[in-house]
Amino acid sequence: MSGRRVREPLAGAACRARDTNALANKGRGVYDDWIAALNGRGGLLGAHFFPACTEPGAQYAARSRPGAGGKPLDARYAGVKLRKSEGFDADQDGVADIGRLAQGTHVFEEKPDGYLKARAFSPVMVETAERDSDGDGWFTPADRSRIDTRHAGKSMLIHHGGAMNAATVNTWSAGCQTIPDDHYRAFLALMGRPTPFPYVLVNTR
Amino acid sequence: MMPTRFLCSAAALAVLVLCGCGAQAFAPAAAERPAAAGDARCAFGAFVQEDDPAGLNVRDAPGVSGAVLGTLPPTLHGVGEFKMDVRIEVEVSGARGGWFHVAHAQDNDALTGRPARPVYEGEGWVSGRKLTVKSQATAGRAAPGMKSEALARFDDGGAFDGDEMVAAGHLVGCQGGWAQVEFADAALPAPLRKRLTVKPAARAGLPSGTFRIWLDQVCGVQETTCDGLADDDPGRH
Repeated sequence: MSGRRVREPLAGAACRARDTNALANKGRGVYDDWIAALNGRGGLLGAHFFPACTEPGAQYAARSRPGAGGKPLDARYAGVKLRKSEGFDADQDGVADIGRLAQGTHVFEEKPDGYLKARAFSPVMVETAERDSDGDGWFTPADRSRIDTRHAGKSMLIHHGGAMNAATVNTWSAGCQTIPDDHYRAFLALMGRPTPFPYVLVNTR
Repeated sequence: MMPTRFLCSAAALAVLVLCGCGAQAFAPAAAERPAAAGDARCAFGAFVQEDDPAGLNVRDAPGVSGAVLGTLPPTLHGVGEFKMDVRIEVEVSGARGGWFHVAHAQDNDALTGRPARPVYEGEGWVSGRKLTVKSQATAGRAAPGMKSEALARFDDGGAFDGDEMVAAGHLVGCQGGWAQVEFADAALPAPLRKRLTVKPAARAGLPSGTFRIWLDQVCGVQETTCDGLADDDPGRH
């Protein structure tokens, strides 16, 4: 008699442990959130937690672009080295606004050819993002036209980010959910090869 | 008697010629910009795909006869825990005859975790054979524009932003935010080829085993993704 096949209908849960200002760590992002792989390999009904970043770093904000004299266009972004300007101009003030995945339930699936030489997960549907339209680094109701239901598309992946034990930690997140290089293999091992799975993102304070 | 104005012009010309010779001998001239009627104009980020340890030459004009203004370092392979390829990033602004006008080159120290390598940051021309792009589009089209026929798609709806697609392509044209990319079948891993459907029109007139498509949603950031409307969003055009 064959044993009952243990499926791996995984779920991911992310706890945005606290809001992180996009300017923190000189705009390179901070691993101060947690992603849990639920019901991992072998159907252990367990929850394994991994450090994660669920918010973008200001290194992708147009406001950190150098202006005259090499200073950033927005003085609040002094000390941030622009990587590449990303985002969507939600409030139509002429400056693209970085975005983060909105809290709620999302559905992810295996990204067929991975990302950055590793497995990754992509959203099944167009995602809703929050935009930091006032550029203060926070995502709050003070941001005009904060809720953006279109322009993130399916671009906010779950992928690996820079290692936590690196001399300079960089989360590589412009809005993606990233887990550090030095924890990512363990995360993937626990995720198994899931079919589309729910990913529940909760903001906590 | 020679008019004074002509004398002045002649003197100015002589000085310019002398300065030009001096510049060629001691410092590279400024790069030509895309301005001819047939030049393509575009704006997106691309990656340098070069394995020559000496790097990629940036020239003052499109073609191998252009003077070398500087070089861009080769691709770093096997970087980090997952053995990533890290390429120099450039901004593309135009094209002529398979050559592309680039500027603002930079190394990616976020990915390498080490100090950025020196690069030539100025304007110049590089061969499209040494440039590739990462496109988050889910269809490769016959011409730049969402109304154009889709010639290539992944059966599972995937995007053209995977590592293998980036490594297998090179730029052949551009227009606005669209890049025309040529791929060689042999450079695509078998599992990927199996997922990818390419219509014959994408191969018309090309050497066997190659195809060309137009891609938008080009993301010039290697370490993460870019915002982008879904293919079926009415805002795409």
